Parts: sequence; C-alpha cells; structure tokens
Amino acid sequence: MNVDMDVTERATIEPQAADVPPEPARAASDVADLAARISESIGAVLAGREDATATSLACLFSGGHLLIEDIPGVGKTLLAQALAASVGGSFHRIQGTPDLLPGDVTGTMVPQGDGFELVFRAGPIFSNVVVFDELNRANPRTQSALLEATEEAAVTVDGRTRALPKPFLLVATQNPIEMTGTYPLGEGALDRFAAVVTPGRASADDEVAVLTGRRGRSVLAGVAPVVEIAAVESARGVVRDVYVADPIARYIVALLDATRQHPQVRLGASTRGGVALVGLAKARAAIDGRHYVVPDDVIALAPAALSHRVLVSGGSGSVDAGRAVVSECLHRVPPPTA
Amino acid sequence: MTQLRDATRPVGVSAGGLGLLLAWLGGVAIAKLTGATPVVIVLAAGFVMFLGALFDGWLTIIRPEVGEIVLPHSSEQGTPVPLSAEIRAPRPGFIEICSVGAEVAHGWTRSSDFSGDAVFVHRGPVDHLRVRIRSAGLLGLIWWGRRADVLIERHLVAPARQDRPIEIERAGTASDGDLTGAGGAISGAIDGVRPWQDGDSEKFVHWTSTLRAGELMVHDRRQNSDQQWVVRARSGTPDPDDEAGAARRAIEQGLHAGVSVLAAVDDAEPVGIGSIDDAVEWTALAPLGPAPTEQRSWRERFRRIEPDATATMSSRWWAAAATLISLWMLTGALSYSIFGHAIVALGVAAGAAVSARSLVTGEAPSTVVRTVVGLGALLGFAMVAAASGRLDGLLAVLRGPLPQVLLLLIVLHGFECRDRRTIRVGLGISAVVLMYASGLRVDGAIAWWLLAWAITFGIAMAKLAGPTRVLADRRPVGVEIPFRRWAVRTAGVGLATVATIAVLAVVPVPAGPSNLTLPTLIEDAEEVPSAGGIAGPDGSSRDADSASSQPDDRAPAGQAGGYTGFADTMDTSVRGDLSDEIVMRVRAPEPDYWRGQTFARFDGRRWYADEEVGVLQRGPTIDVPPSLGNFPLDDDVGVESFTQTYFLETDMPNVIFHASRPTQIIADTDVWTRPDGALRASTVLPEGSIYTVVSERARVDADQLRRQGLLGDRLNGLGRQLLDRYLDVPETTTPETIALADELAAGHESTYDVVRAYEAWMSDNVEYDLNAPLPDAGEDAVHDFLFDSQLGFCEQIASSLTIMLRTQGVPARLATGYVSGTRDQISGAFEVRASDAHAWVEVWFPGSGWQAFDPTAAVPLSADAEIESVGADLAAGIGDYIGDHPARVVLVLVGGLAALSVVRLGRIAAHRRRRGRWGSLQDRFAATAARRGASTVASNPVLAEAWTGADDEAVARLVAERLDRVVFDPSFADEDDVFTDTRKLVGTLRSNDR
Repeated sequence: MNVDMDVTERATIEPQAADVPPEPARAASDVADLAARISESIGAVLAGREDATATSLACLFSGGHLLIEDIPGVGKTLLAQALAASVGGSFHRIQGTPDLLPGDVTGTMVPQGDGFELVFRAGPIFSNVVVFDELNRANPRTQSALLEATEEAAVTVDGRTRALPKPFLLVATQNPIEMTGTYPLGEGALDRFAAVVTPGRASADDEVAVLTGRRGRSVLAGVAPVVEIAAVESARGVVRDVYVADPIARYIVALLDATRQHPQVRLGASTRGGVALVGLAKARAAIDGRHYVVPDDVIALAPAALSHRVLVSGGSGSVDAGRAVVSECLHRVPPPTA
Repeated sequence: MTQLRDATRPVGVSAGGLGLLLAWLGGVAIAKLTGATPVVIVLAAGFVMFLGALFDGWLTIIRPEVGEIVLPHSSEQGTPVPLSAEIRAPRPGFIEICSVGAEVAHGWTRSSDFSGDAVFVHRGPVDHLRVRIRSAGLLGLIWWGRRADVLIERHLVAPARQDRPIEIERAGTASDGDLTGAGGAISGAIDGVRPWQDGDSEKFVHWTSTLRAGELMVHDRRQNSDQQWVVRARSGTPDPDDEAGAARRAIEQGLHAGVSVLAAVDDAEPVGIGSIDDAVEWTALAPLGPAPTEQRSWRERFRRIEPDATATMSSRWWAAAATLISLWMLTGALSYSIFGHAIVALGVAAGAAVSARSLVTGEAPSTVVRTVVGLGALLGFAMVAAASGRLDGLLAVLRGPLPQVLLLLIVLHGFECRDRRTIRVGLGISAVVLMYASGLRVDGAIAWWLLAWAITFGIAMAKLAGPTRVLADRRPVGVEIPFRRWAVRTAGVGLATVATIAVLAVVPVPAGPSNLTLPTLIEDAEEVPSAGGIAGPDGSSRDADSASSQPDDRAPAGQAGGYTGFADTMDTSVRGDLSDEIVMRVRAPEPDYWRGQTFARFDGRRWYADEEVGVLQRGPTIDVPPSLGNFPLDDDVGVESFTQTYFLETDMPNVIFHASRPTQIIADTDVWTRPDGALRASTVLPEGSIYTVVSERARVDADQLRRQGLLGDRLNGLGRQLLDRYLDVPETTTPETIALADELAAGHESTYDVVRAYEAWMSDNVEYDLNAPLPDAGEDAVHDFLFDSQLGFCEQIASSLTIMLRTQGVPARLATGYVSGTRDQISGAFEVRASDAHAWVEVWFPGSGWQAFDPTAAVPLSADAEIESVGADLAAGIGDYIGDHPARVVLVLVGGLAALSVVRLGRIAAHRRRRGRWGSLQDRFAATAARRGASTVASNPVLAEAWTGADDEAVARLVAERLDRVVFDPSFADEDDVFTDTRKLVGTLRSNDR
C-alpha cells in the first residue's frame, strides 16, 4: 500500500520567527491582532480576496471547517495554503481521487519490525491544517471517513481512538462545474462544513499582480508563519467566551426559520447551521476586537454559513441558489436593535 | 415590477353600505318633512363622506406595482403551497391571485410584499397569474380594483392522488430472461415489507408479517426493475382530474415498488416515467380533456367584496358612542329626565359590552344574557304599549310611543352588532336618529352635538375599514411617522369641512312643512282662569290696570315675555324694560312677524282689543276659521303654506303666536280662535312648550299692492260696515294730525305709496327713542308724538301710522308680537328675545288681506325675502361665532391641540416606557437614517452608512456602535452621561440634515 502516492507531505515548518508573539491570546484585542497578522500575510500572497480571507479566519478561530467552492484556477488551493503557511503548525494536503481509501486519510495499521507487529501509521489527517483538494472526487466512503474524523476530532483505527492535534482545521475545495466522475457531497456531508466560500475571480489589477509574479504561488514559498499555532488554540478559547445576547440568538433562529419558510426551499437550514453561524459570528466579533456579537457579524457570515445548507428546489444543489435565498431571508428578517 | 396597467375601476361596496345609503335617503325625507337645517348639514356631510370614500380607495391603489411572484416548482390540486409576491402600494390593499378564473390565493398586502398560501384548483401548467388588488381606503366603503397578468416561472399543478384502480398493463422478465406476467417469480432484493396495494400479486404476500400486522403485507423491493408497468389514463372521462389523480397514484406506486413505469393517454405511445418529479409533470400535463368549471355568480362576487367581516372592539365601542350621542339628542328632545338618559346610556353600553365580548370570543352571547335582554325588551315594549293605550290619534303616536319603540329597537340592535355589516347598519340608524332628533331640536347646543356625533361616527367608520388584525409593520416606531399621519388626517378633516360648506353653498335653506317636527308638547299647564281671556305666565289674569300711564310704573311685567302688548288693552306710552333673554325659538323657513295680538279701538292713548273671545276649539289639531278681514284672496296672488313651530324657552302668557293667516294649529291644548285674528290657549304656556302653526301667506310684492289703488276710494258700503272698527278715528285726533295725513297722501295713486310716504316722513322727522317722554295727561298721544316730542318707540310710531291711515279711510289695525329675531345658522331656528317684542301696523288690502307695515323694523315683504343657501348661512354662522367669541374659539383650538398633544405625548411616553430610553434613541436614529434613504430593515452599522460626510459618518458610526453595545455587550454600563452624549450626537445628525 503506497500511502504517499496521493498525499504530499511537507515537513513541519518550525515557527519562532522573531515577531511572533510568544504569549497566548487572552482578550478579544489579542485575537484581533492575530487575525490582522494572518490576513496581512495571506494578502501578500492572494490578491483581493478579503471576504474569503475573513471567512477563513472566522473558521480558523471558531473551530469550524471550511469548504472553498469555485471554478478551477482562481486560487482556492492557494488560499488554503497561504492560511496554513501563515499560522505555522503542521500542514498536509490531500488530493481527492476516486481510488483514495479511508485508510489513506486516517492512517492504518502497518506491520513493522521483525515481529511484524502492527503499528499505527498516522495518515495525513493528523496535522493542524489539512487541505483536501477536490473533495468531491474522493469516493463517498473516504468522504464520510474524513468528515466523521473531523466531526469527532479523533480517528478510531483498530479499536483505538486517537485524537487529532489541536487546533485542527480542514479546508476542502471543490469544483462545482465539472461534474463528471465526481461524487457530489450529500446534504449531511455539506452540513458538516461550518462555512462555504466562493472567492470568485480576481479583479484586473489583481490579475496583473499575479501574472507579473508580485503575488500568487511564486511568493507562497516566502511566507513564514506569523503566529504560533498555540496562539490559535488560545484564541479559540477567547472566541468561545464571546458573548451572544439573546436577541442575537433569536435573530439567528428567525433567519433559520425564514429559510425553512421560503417558498423556493425544499429543505431549510439545520440547527447545526445555526450553531455554526453562532461560532462564526463569535469569531468575527473577536477578530473585530469585540467581546460581544452584533447583528452585523451574523449578517456578514450568514451567507457563508447557511447557503450550502438550504436545498433550493430547481436549484440543482448549487450553493449560489442557496446564497440568493439566504440573502433574501436577511432582507426579510429585521436585525435586532436597541 | 409590473405596473397594474388596467384602469382602476370601482368593484363594489362594503357590507352595510346599502344601509348607510338608505339612512341618507331617510335623511332626505326627514329634511323634506321637517325643513330642519341641521339635517341638511348632516346630509351634506354624508355626501362629502361618500365622495371621500369614493376617492380615498382610488388614491390608495392609483399606482400599485407587482413584482416577482415566487412559487415552488409544482403543487397539488387543493393542497396549499407557500406563495410570495412583491407588491408596492402606498397603503395596504387586498390582493387576489387567480389562475384560469379560479382564485388561488388572497390576503392583505403589507408595505412591500404579500405572502400567503396558494391553493390551485385546476390541474395543468400555470405560466401566468392574474393579480387583482382592491382597496377601499380609510373609510372602507367603496372598493376600487385593478388587475394585471403577471408571468411566472412555469408552475405545475398535479392532480390530487385518487385511491381507485386504473388500467395498468404489467409485464416483467424473470431473472433468467423469460417474460412473466404480473404473478411472476420473486426477483430482485427484498428491502422490506409494506401493506398491500392495488396491483400487487398474491405471490408477493409476506405471510409472517401479515399474521403479525393483521392486514395483508407484501414484499417491498426497490431493485426489481425488470418489471414494467404501463399506466393508461383515459381521456374524455367526466372528471379528468380524477382520472389523472388515479394515474398519479398508480405511477407513484410503481415507482415506489421499483417497477419501471410508463404512462400513456388512451392508446398513445407510452413514455417512461423516471422519478416522482416526472410523475408530477406527466399527470399535470396529460391531455385528458376539459375539466368541468363552475362559474362564480356576480352576486356572490359582489357579496364577497369586503374580505373581513369581523369588526374590532374599538370600532364597536366608537359605534356605540355615536349611537348614544344620537339617542341622547332624541331623549333630550323628548324631555327625558336624567334618569331616562342614564337608562339609555346603560342599555347602549350593555349592548356594546355584550357584542364586543362576543367579537373577542367569537361566540354568541350566553343564554342568560339573551334571556335578560329579551325580558327587558318585553318589559319596555309592554310599558310603551300600556302608555299608548291612552293615546288618541296619529299625532300622539308619532311623538309618544314611536320614538320610544325606535329607541328600544336601537338598544336591542346594539346587542347583536357583531360584524361590520350590522355595525355599519347601526351607524346608519344612529344617523337617522340624529337627523330625526335634530329635526326636533332647535337649541343652541345642536352644533356641538352634531360635531361630537360626526367625530365619533367618522372614527367608527375608519375603525371598521381595513384588515381586522393589523399586520406587524416592520417600520421602526419612529416619532415622526404618527405625526405625519396626524397631519394628513387633520388636513383630510379640514378638507371635508370645507367641502361640506361648499356643498351646502348650493343647497337652499329648506322650506319644507314641519308638521312632523314633534309639532306640540305642552306639559303641566294650568287652565287660564277667565275663558278666552289673557293670562300671564303665572296664570294671573291681566286687566286694564296692570299697566298704567304713571311715569314711575313703566314696567308692568318685568319678567321675560311680560310685554305690555299681550293684554286686552295697551297704553301706547308704556313700554316695559325688556331683557335680551331668549323667550322662544321659532323654526320657520323664512323670517316673519310672530303676531300675538291685534288691537282695533284707540281712544287717543290706549288701545283696546275686541271683547269677543271667539270659539273654543279642541286641540291638538285645530282648523282655524277665517277671522275678520281674511277674505278669499285675489286669483293673481300666490299663496304658500308657511309652517312655524314655536319652542318656548321661558314661561309665556297664553298667547298662541302665529305668522300671517293661520289655518291650522297643532297644540296640546284648547285654543280660543278670536274674530280679531288673535289666538289664545286655554292654558298658560310654560317653558318647554312646543306648538306648531300652519299659516297661509300671500306672496305679495310692491307692484301688486300698488295695483290695488287707493283703498279709501275702493271700499264700498258693505266693506265699510264690516271693517268699521278698523276705520274708526278717535275723537281726540287733532286736526293737525289729519292735515298732515292729508298733505302727505296728496298726489299718491295707491295706498301702498301713501304708506311709504308716511313711513318716509316719519323716518325724516321723528326719532326712535325707548326713553321718550310721556305725553301730558289728557293729551292725544299721536299728536304729542308727531308734533311735540317727535321722540318715540314702536308702539307710538305704529299707533300714529294707524291713525293717519284711518283718516284716509284705509282699514288699519295695530298688531303686537315679536319680530323674527336672529336666525341660528346651525339649527335654522329664529332666536326670539324679549327685546324683540314689537308693535306694527297692519293694513287691509282687498286683494291680499292684512299686510304688515313697519316704519321701524325692516321685515321684507314675503315675496322679496331672499333665500340664502345653507352653506352661506353656515359659513356666516361660523364667522359670526368666531367674531363673537374669539377667546372661546382660541380656547377650543388650544384646548384641542393640547388634548391631541397630551394624547401624543402619552403615546410617546408609553412608547418610551416600552422601548426604554435607548430604544427610543434607536428609533430616532433609524428614522433619521431612513430619511436619508437607508433601508428600514438594517443593522446599526448599515444605518450608519447612510451618512457620507466625513464628520457625520464618524458620528453615525459611533452612535451605531454605542446602540449595538447597549443590547449586545454585557459589560456595557448604562451611564447617564454616555446616554446624554449619544442623544446629543443623534441630535447633531438630525440637525445637520435640516
């Protein structure tokens, strides 16, 4: 079994660049500082993707997983790689193919040594940041193994449960256009992603920057970690403590209900979607330096958090149709105010 | 957005609208019968309200736009699916969405959208919907509608599944490839068991489950795609939808069982059905022939024009208030006691309470309440019936039991007012009662009663309009919006008032007969001691000595109505001090002299009435025999009937006042009809007495009188003999007087011109003076007045004129009574004051009878009396009122504004209490941002984006952040200085906007 065939493993980059703050994040302002560093670092690589970057950061700090859905060649993988490179920690990239097996992702028992004792060889999922390219090209068994592992933050092989490292962030990408030879993710699988972003095409100026090599993959190699991975974990603690007022929670519930009542929707957003949205909104509040969530946090992240969870009739499962429904619901439900 | 291009057209009238129309027509009848101005005012206001109702609905939907209509891809016949549409209209309207002539959805629109459930009736594809919007505006009476066809994405309406067998051709291949029939071998993987369905083979029965479940269970398999069903639906059946529904059920069964399903209409080539969606599409589109349609009749459509039949609590109570006001007006006119008023109020309130309660609960009142009300009503009717046993004649019924029965019925109706129709009808009845009562009442407070009733009526009508349950408006409760609404409504009311006066400007003062205006009401009257004699208000007899010529006794009857002219004799040199108190109100179409007494014989100082008391006529309806001098009139003289109703405001002597030639009296007493034309009641007439006199008036003008020439020459011997008492010149008349009369009369061809000449001389040579010196004892009063003092009041002026005319052989007499008084512009009645007591001259013309002449007061000849319009009158009345009581008007306006402000401040305070100080600030901020074009449904940072100037933007952001912190930040400390600062910042933003 050739595990390395589809998995590119990179050596863990040692952190400790001079400007990395050694102390853990304690307050929302620390999280804001961390987020500013990371987005600056990503911005050096990726041109004009502020929205996608912000959502990615919200996922990073809220502990949710991210699905980047877009056409090929717009920098999906680059966004994921720049994020991973900026935060330090271990990083693996997995390329989704139909013959990729669950064991290739989670790791398997392999005979070792003279007595051929079975020892666990960890799969690429055991790292802080995992980029899973073309998730919908992996077969459903592998998809579900991956998603179960990410959900439980642990892998069980041969009766033993092994925890994934902390923090753990899965960034999956998929191409919504080319459907031949793919295994589209079911509603349940999609529901496990906290957010879906569509970076979209860059502007003309940004494309010039890419073509001339000022931005893009060529500068990725020069990205050094700007934060310590431990700081991300402590930042998650801060995010968990961000306060969500009752009106905000009721607002989110009203939004979820609006997606369920919408005439075009066959299946509305799940409660899990609401939970994910709360987490993302908390993270955005902290990134903004606040220790409380405001309705704008919810409004900013609701499309990312909910649009893949609504099944639009006649929308053939596209996230864009869902996004239209969610933004309509945002117009319908008045945000809470004083 | 599709504009609804069709012309706006009226589509119907709300329930109860006919009742209001009938009430209006009833009002017209009342106006005709009573000739009461307030009725005309109410009718004009009603007409303006009709115009308002007409145009308000039209204005509401003048430019509605319909946006996209969102529907699911498909639906099933008779099963609701959610529908939403974008609608833009200034105010809520009622929307009806139809497909193929059948309504699929309806409801009230909100500010920008409509969402509701749609139920499709007809099977098949739908690619456009007909949208109808209608609105009746603020008053909710007349509905205007528009419609448009809106294209939608194709929507399929599938038939409802029908649980009945349909033709299915089954074919299958066993696993070895052999074709088998429906009862073929079991093939494919068994996924489970399910209940028996039509078309299952008995070979598939799963006996173990069947025994356990107690019903037939069969193997259920998904994978046996080697079996094939061809479902054939038949066209041309009586109910194609039913056939399609049966086909749908069969196809879905097949799909469920994993069979490969094909479907066909009749013997056509079958098509494959791959999924449930395909099944929906095929059955929705299958051409199975036309479905039977049922047409809704126009009557039904007309009846259903108003979507909400239920009323609200507040509308019920406002309607009760309007009813109570009108009933109190009626009971006031019928002289009910305070106790009676309270009983009526109690009945109305109980009715409102009971029916309002059933409005809330939706149940009819309990049996106990019904029984109590029923018994009360029976008791009331019994009392009325018992009282009416003593009645005689239609007149008594008209003013006695009839209003009482009406009152009882209205109170009873109040218990059953539970929907809009009955409440509107109730309001219509209250309008009729109001108009009836204002036909009976002439008091000065009638304007305020009308105003109060109009306000409550208008509010009740407005409360009855629109959707019953007010849909939650997402607009932030800003402080500005209610003020704008107030302003619009105040402007509307002002416009309606002006329009009412404008309408009234073309309506002449009504001149109808007033014999239905509660013609008489005389209570607690005591008999006059001397038959046919005259008695003061206290019943005391008046004799010649009651007023003497002594200088120190000039006021024989100081009390109101104690005019010396109402006695058997009158000393021309005595005039009482008469106050400005109102002694009576007279409802009559035109001003005239209200005559009380005539005098024929003069002894130089004193006038004596005839001693003949005439005939006692039995009331209440009395035909007056012609009196002396009232001979048939010339053919060329027009005669009109002139009805006056006298409402005594103070105790009066037993004189029945009348204008011109009385022909009929309606009075609750017996009347002496005297040959000299005076009428005397057999009882005294206390305050509150009402009686009606119908007179004949000759329509004469100056030319007509002039044509009759010199009466002294025309009178023949018989005439002189008959009228000798009116030709009698007293012995004391001096030659100077006669000489003056002769000199002035010389050269004139007609008596009319002679009278004018005398009047002209008097206006040139004598002065009107209430404090004229008394003539010396024994001196002729006429001579004294004409040549010595040349100062005098009406008695002396009129006496002189009479005597001067008699010297020329012209029959003349002195009449006393009242001048018409000032007309109250609202009630249309003449207010007669004690000081309006008057004496004037009556000259007998052979062609037209007794004609009044007056050198002092200018009462026009009947034909010249100008008829003003009610509107001009009303406007003049309002102007006069404002001119007379500027302080009061200012006080009322300020008071009204203050009351409105208090209400508004109270609402703002309640709003503040509910929203808290930060909440109120939030509303201010949102309203300010909304004025700058921000969406009303936005979070604070988005609202802050409405400001673009560098400074303002920073301030707005700061405000937005603070407002967000108030609710969402647990560590936010609500400190006064932070609040004050933020309020200042919002104030800066608002003031910068101006």
